[in-house]
Formats: sequence, structure tokens, C-alpha cells
Amino acid sequence: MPSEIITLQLGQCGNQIGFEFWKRLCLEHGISPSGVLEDFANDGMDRKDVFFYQADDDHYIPRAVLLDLEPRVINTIMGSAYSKLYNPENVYLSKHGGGAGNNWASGYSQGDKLQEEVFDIIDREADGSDSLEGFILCHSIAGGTGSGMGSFIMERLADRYPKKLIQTYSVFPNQDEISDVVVQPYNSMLTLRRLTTAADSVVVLDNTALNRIACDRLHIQNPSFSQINNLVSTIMSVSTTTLRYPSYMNNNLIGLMAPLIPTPQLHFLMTGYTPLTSDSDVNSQQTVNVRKTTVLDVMRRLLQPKNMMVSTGPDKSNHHCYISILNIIQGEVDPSQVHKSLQRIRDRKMAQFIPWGPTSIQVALSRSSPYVQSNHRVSGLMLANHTSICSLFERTLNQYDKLRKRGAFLDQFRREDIFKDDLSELDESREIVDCLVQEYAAATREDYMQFSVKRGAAGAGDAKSEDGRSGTSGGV
Amino acid sequence: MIHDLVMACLSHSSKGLGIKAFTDTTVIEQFIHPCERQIFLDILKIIKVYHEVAQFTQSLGPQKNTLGELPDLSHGYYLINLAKGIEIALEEYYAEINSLEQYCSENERTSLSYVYNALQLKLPVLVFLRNLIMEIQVRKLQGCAMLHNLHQQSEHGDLQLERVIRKIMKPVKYAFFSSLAHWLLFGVIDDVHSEFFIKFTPNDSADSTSCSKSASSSVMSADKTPEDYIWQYEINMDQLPGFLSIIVAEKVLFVGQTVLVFKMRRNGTAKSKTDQLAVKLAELSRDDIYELWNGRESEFFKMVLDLSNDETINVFRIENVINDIKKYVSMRLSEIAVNEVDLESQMGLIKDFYLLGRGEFYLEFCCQMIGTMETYREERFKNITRSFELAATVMGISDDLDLFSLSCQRSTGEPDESSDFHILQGLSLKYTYEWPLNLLFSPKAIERYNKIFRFLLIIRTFQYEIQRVWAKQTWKAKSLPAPLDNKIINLRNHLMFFLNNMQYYIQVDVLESQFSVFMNVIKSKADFEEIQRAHTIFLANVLSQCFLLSDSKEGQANITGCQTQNPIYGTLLKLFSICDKFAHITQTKDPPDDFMGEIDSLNERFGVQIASLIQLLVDVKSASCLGPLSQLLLRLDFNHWFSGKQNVSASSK
Repeated sequence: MPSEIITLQLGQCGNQIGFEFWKRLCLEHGISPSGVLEDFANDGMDRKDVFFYQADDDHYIPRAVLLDLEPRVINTIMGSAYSKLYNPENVYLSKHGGGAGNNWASGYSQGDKLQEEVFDIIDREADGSDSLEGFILCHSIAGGTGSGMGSFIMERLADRYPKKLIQTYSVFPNQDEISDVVVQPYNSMLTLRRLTTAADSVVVLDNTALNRIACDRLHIQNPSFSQINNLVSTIMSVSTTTLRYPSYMNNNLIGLMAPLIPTPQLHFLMTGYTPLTSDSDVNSQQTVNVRKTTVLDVMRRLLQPKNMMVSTGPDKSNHHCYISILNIIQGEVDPSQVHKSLQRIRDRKMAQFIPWGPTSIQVALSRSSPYVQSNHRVSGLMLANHTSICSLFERTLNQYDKLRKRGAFLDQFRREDIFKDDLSELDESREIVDCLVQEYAAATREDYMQFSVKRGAAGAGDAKSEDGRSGTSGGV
Repeated sequence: MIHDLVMACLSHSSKGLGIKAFTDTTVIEQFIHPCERQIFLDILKIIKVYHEVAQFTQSLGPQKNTLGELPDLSHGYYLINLAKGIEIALEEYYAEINSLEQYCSENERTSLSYVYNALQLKLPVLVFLRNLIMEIQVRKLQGCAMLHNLHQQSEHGDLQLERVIRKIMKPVKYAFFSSLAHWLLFGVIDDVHSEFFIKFTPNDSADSTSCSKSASSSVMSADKTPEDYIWQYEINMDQLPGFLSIIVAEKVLFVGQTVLVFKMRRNGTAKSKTDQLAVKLAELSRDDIYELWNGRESEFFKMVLDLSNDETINVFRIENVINDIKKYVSMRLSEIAVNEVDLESQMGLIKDFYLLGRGEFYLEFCCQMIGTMETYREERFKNITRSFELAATVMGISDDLDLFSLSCQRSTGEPDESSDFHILQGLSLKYTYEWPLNLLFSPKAIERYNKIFRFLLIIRTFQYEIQRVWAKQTWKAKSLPAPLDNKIINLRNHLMFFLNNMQYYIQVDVLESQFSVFMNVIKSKADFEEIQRAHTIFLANVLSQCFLLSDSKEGQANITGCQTQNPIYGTLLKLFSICDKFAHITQTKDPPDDFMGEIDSLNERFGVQIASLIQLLVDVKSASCLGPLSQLLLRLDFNHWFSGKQNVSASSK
């Protein structure tokens, strides 16, 4: 079946959100925790084959690969009702079970050592699909396994499958609370480098914003992991809904991504979702007041920063702008309302757009699962490419610089192969992330198309980029 | 003498009595007293008028029947019936003459004046009849047109004449209403002389002429199904009596077509194409019609025939009866369409395939047709129909696709251009509709669907192409440190933007919203004719909002090149060809030597075309303040990029 997508779950965080994602997909497609199609699920208008394949006995099996260096989360999954869902051959736990110690370098070099076994699984899974379109990677960028091993696997994937898309759902650490992982800035920086160079599109899930949203919008005092993960799984499932419930366009990952990502570097996407309800499974079953949300409400709210799943901080200079927007709207939508909403948004200048090219709010009306009751008439997910995302990288840069200046906690990195000789890897990564920030900053200006940064050490001194810069004065 | 004269008055009566040719005026000189001469001549004049009338009735009249010959039908039933009517009207005259004759034979002394007086009473009727006949003959009226003429005369101020005309009209009316009843209830027109206002035109000859004109209509005729003949019934405007409005006539046509559709239900397959008429007559199996009328046909039949018993033609009653029947038929039909055939799901299929609702299928189709994301085939569009079937198999939806088949028609236009979308424009999708939906999917409607289909498929294909370029460039950027030239990226983004927004506009603003309007009509349990009308409106709106509507004849404005009528469509075509070119030169193995030059010129062409598109949209928008065009404009120019650029270039000049 065409356009299959293989999901890789890495590390504690990656497996947790991946688990929530699969639970959600099963619910939406009417697949029982053991992989059997429920009796009521006879509405054949969905495509299960993108994310699942069918075993000989008609069981649906996720195209998922579960990887971790420590057993805790995977054991929880395998102890749950969903244990029979996964292909046991696709679950890989390192034998020592000691994890990566929240150390990027450790995860990276363990990935190197284990790559044969891991890629046996991935290759087998890829062979099993008729026309694989790409990979989805779930991980966090701050820990050890998801970030370090994830980075390694991303690089290898880009090598081995140069013509497959790599999309990641990357969880960024919470900035508001003191992390117990002291080397988090290093880990983040090193992972960001791979996200910049090896991934094709990165959906940024910022724990800071997720927590804030849980507090402010859902009124949960101390949001638990599962509540946060619920938010994440909603985003992941809705952002893939046009693949699973196909309508006229955005039916493959490329179709989804291509309009959002104008130049290869600008591939970090923000998400927003509205309306949010607390714990849709537990509490809201009783309160069946379906709210009269309109398309305009949804589209307007999606443009509000407080609904964004990325905390970008106040935009002081007020020059940040949208590069592209895709709204996936579900529910009972009167199509003629879409145009009115677009008109309203433009008239009231609710969103600021790049000055260097044409762009607009693309609205995909998507069907939704008939098996999941929504208590909202209309709901919407926004996938947006917004320049303010660079503030997230800037923050990481600042934290990194503080730590790096003191030379703190570098010993545990030096122990690993990649840092054996020197710490140039860290500096290169910083350079690349800095370039990324510059690129995003440039994207707010009119002359972006003439802008061309030196990419990495290799691209330095490129004559063309010099030309481009001198030409900027000409304007558009 | 006077007796002779009186006999002459009867010369043409149906009983064959009387003296013929009493017109020799020479006798007047000899036998008539000069002072009576004038009266005599006047009587002769009256007789002459009578002769003319009588000759007319005789030429058509029924008395030939008595000789065992078949009546001469070349004049048509309506005229024969008219003759009958006149004959009846003349009865009164004959009675008068008879009593006159009686009187003459009983009384010795009668004067010419007496005869004259008696005859003159009848003169207005005779003159009136003669005028009527003359008008009918001069204007060569027949059939319903003649009935209309009679109807016009029927509101006569003179009571006597009014009575006469009603008598005349009665048989004609009867003919009219019985053919109306036959058409309405059984879908039969036995009308050799095309006297009824609905006619059957076998369009074989028409086809061969139009075939040479346009490629698209020949596609239609090539795969003609026997069912198509219901579309060959149409309203004959010449015969449409003025007292029936076109709306009523359309209702009548609709009812008859419905009946025909019901008739073709079961034996639709066994039908041979060649002699449809014979088959049609053989089809008079009541069972299927019974299903439609549900036992009420005699009731309706009576209702129609009752109309002819009216003194005059009561337009309101006719309309009421027709409305009643139509309402019943269309309710019945929509019941069947919605419940048995599940019209909603049929429309869903139409949307899925004609309107590319099944995006994932068409994605696979593109993939089969022009290669996957990773590859680039130089030779594409080789085997489109095969690709179509393959894609269906791959997606596992062959079942849904059973009703559809794609056919490919080589466009006769200049093939040297070898542009991709010339091939796409030769495509047509055939839909095998379920039985009573024949009324919805006329060949014309299907052709319109195909027009939309081709347009959407072109956009879809180029979107796929540009996405492929995107994917390749993204992968390349990952592996190679050297960044891609900005101009290429820029042009690619602009093209992608244009195609995406074009598609969003068509799918969301046009198709989705029009379709929901149409579906609401179906859901509201409307009768079938309303559904039919909504369907026509739906198609017309979609076509016009996709800029596919042109003023010229259907099918003529085919997309083969520059002779398109709609300027917006022309611009769109030029933009498509830029997409085509771009996709080609960025993916081909041997790019042209002057690669950047090509890109530059494409960039420039794109700028010009998009500017003119925006300008056209702005013009149209300001011309017709509201309208769907502003929706496309809004999408294309959401951040004022194109219009801003235009202003800059305008001010710099």
C-alpha cells in the first residue's frame, strides 16, 4: 500500500508519547488494544494501511519500532492492554538496560554500537512496505536516549534512505522548572544540530508551552505526564488525519510538508490546537454540552500565541511573522464559512506574514473518525512555520553558552568516542544552530531570498553567499 | 329553380345529396328577374363560401373511410380532427338548409329573398370557418400550433361563433389530450407528423456533423448507450401551443422521460441499439410502469382526458393537472432514487472520482502515471488507462471504481507541443449510473463533469510534479552542502503556492460549498425535479467558478489551445504550462544548456501571467462586487504579495 510511514519511538519520552499516539490511532480506527478490528468499525472510509499493516490473521499491527536503552517505559507498555498490539520483534531494549544516563554522547555512541540490530528491524519494516514514504520519529531532545541515540539514528536514516522523508515530533524541555538533567543544554544543542541537518521537518512540542496550556487553558494545577502526553497525542493524530482520512489533498507526507517548508532550512513547525478540553476521555463524557464553535472562532484562536504549543516569549521587536500556515479543520464545517473567516483574518490583520513571498492560510477540511465523539462542533489544528520559533533556539544557545563558558559537566561527554579527541562537535553544533537562528531572523526581512548563510564549516566562504549579501541592498 | 338552389347548398353535405357546381352564372341572365339578380348572386356567394369550407373538410374528411381506403394521413391527425370538428359545426347549417328545403317544397310561393334571409343568418359562421381554414392553410398550421390558433379564436365575442369554435375545437382538443395522456403516462408518442410539442429526434445525423467539429462530443457519441435515446426527446418549440408555458412543457417532458426511464429498467441490457423504436414499442410491458404509477395511472389518465371535456381549454386546469402528475412522479422518483439507489452515496462516488474527492487514489494515479517521488520517467503518460486501473488495484478500491472507466482520446490538435496537459485533456471518465439516475446524468451533464474532472486532474498532476521537485531539492539540500539557487527555490515556491491555492479554492470554496448546497437539497426530501434542477445549478456554478464556462457552444471551447473564451482560463492555462516546463527542466536528466536562463525566463513569464491573473480577478471582482472570484483572489493574494509587487513595478515604471 502506498505512502506508508514508519514510526520510531526513542527513549522514555518518545515511547510515552508514541504509546499515547498509537492508543489514539487505535481508538480512531476502531482497532482493539489487541489489534483486532472492532465490530462497529465497518465504515471503510479510512486508511489504516498508512500506519498499520495486517498480519496473516488479520490483526492490525502498527508500523512502529520501539527503541529504548532502559526498560521502564517499554515494560509499562508491554504490561498494558496494548501489549499484543505491537510486533514483539519491533521492540528493542538494550541488553544492559542501564539507559544513557541522560547523556547525549552516551546515547549516540550506544546507537553506534547497536546500529546493526536496530537497522535490522528498521530495514525489515521498510522492506515490508510497498512504497515507504518516510519515517516519523518521536523523542525528546533533552534526555540521553531520545536525543543521543535519536540523533545517531536520524543521521543513519538520512544516509540509508536518502529519498525518504524524516519527520520528527521533538519534545523540547520545560524551561520554567529546574531540570534534574544538568547537561540538558548540551544535549539539546547536539540534537538540534541533527534536527537541522538530518530531518526534513520537525514538529516542535515545547514542554514549557504544554505545561502552560495545561495550567491556563485546562486548569490543571500540576499537570501530569499523561495529561501532557494526551495533548501531544492529540496533535500527532490530528496532524496525520489528512493521511488517514484522505480527502482531496494533503494525502501524503510530502503534500502536507511541501507547502509549509519553503526552503530546506526553515523546517521547524509550531502547532496549535483548539478547542482544548481537559482529559477528553475521563471528565468530559458527562458534560455533553456541544459548544457552538464556528470556523472563524477556531481559526482566530489558532492565531493566538496562547494556544500555541511553543512558548516563544514576548516578541519584543514585533517583526516575527508567519512563513506558512496550514489549518486542519475537523467537524461540521460550512465550507462557505472558510472564505469569510479568511477574509476577516486578513481585514483585521490578525496574522503577520513574510514580506518575501506569497503566502496564505491554507485550510484543509478533514474528516474525522466516526468512532470518537468530540464534544466540539468544530476543532482545528494549526501547523505553522513561524519565525519566532528561533527564540526557542536562542534560549538554548544562551543556556549552552553559560554552561560552555564554565566548561561544566563536560567530563561525562569526553568519555565517549565522539568527544575523545576534542569538543569540536559541540562547537560545530553551536555554529549550525546559530546559523539556523540567523536564517529565521533573515526570514523576517524582505531580502530573505538573497540571504544565504554559510552552512556548517564546509559551506564557509561560499562565493555565492557573498554575492547574495551584497545584492541585498537592491531590494525586491 | 329555388329548389335547385337549395339543393346546391347541400352539395357537399356528408350525405352526398345536392347539386354540385351550381355556379354557372350564365343561367342567371336567363332565369332570374333582374331585380332578384343581385340577391341570387349574393346567395351564390354564400354558397361559394360554403363550398370552400366543404371542400376543405372533404379533402381531409372522414367520408373516404367509407370507401374502404385508409384515410390519407399526410395532413396529420389534428387536421383530420379539425375537419371533423368543422363537419360537426356544419350540421347546424345543414339542418337549416333541410328545413329550408322542407319549407320550399311545402309552400308554392317562396321567394329568393326568403332563401337569402335564411342563408344569410348562417353567413357569419361560414365566413368565420372559411377564414379559419384559410389562415390554417396559408400559415401551414398543423398539430399543436393549429390548436393554439383555435384556442386564440375561441374567445370570440359573438356567442354563435363562440359556440361554433368550441364545437370545432372539441375533436382537436381530444387528439391533443389523448396524445398528452399517452406521453405522460406511458411515454409513448405516436406522432408521425410531428404534431405534438414533444418530439423525438434521432440524432445520428446530428452527431456526424458535430463529431467533426469537436473532439469532445465525438467521445460522447462513441460510447453511446441505448439509454441515451431519452435525451433525444425534446420540446418542439414550433409546436408548443402558446397556452402552455415552457415551464409546463418542461414538466411534461420530464414526466414522459421518467416514464421512459422506468420502462427501460429491466430490459436495459437486452436492448439492441439499432431499432430503438421497435424495442420501445415492445417495451410496453406494464409492470415497470406500474411500479411508477402504483395503480394510479387510470386515475391520472382520466384526469388528463377530462380536460378535453371542458368547453374551452382551461389553462389553469391543465397546469394543475400537469403539476399534480409531475409532483407525484417526481416524489415517487426521488423516493426510489434516495431510498433504493441511495442517491447520496452515488453522489459521493461522483464527488470521489469526478471531483477528485479521493485524493489518495489520484495521488496513486499520478504516481502510476508519471512515476514515484523518487524517480523521474522521461516518457510519461504512456498508458493512462492502465495506470488508472493499477492505481485502483493498489488502493484496493476496484469495487468502487466498477462504475467508472477512463478513456483516453488523442487530441487531434497539434501534437508537436507534446505538452503534458494536452494528453490529460483528452481524458474522459465514464460513469455507469444506476438505473433511475439516468435523468440526472444526461450525456451533457457527464460531459460537464468530465470538463471539471480534466481541469482538476491537471492541477493535481502539476501539484504532484512540483511536490516532487520539492522533495528532490530537499533531499539534495540535505546531502550536498552547496545551497540551491534561490531563483529555483523561489520559482518553485511560487508555483506551488499558486497550485495549492488554486486547489484549495476549487475544492473548498467551490466544490465543497456547492456540493453541500446540492446535498442539502437531496436531504430535504425534495422531489426529483427539484433535485434535477439543483444538480444542473450545481454543475453550472462549479463550471463557472472554475472559469470553465465559455460563451460558445458546449464542447466547442475545448481546451486544445489558445482559442479559449474565458480570459481567466486562458491565463490559467499559461500558468499551467509554466509549471509543466519547470517540472520538466528541473527533473530531466539532461537539463538544457542555458538552465538558469530558462529559469529566469520562466520566472519572468510567471510574474507576467500571475500579475495578469490578479488583474483580471480584480477587474471582475470590481465589476460584480461580490462573487466567488474574490475568494480566489483572497487566497492568492493573502499577504498582498502579488498586488504589492505589481504596485512596485507600476510605480517604478
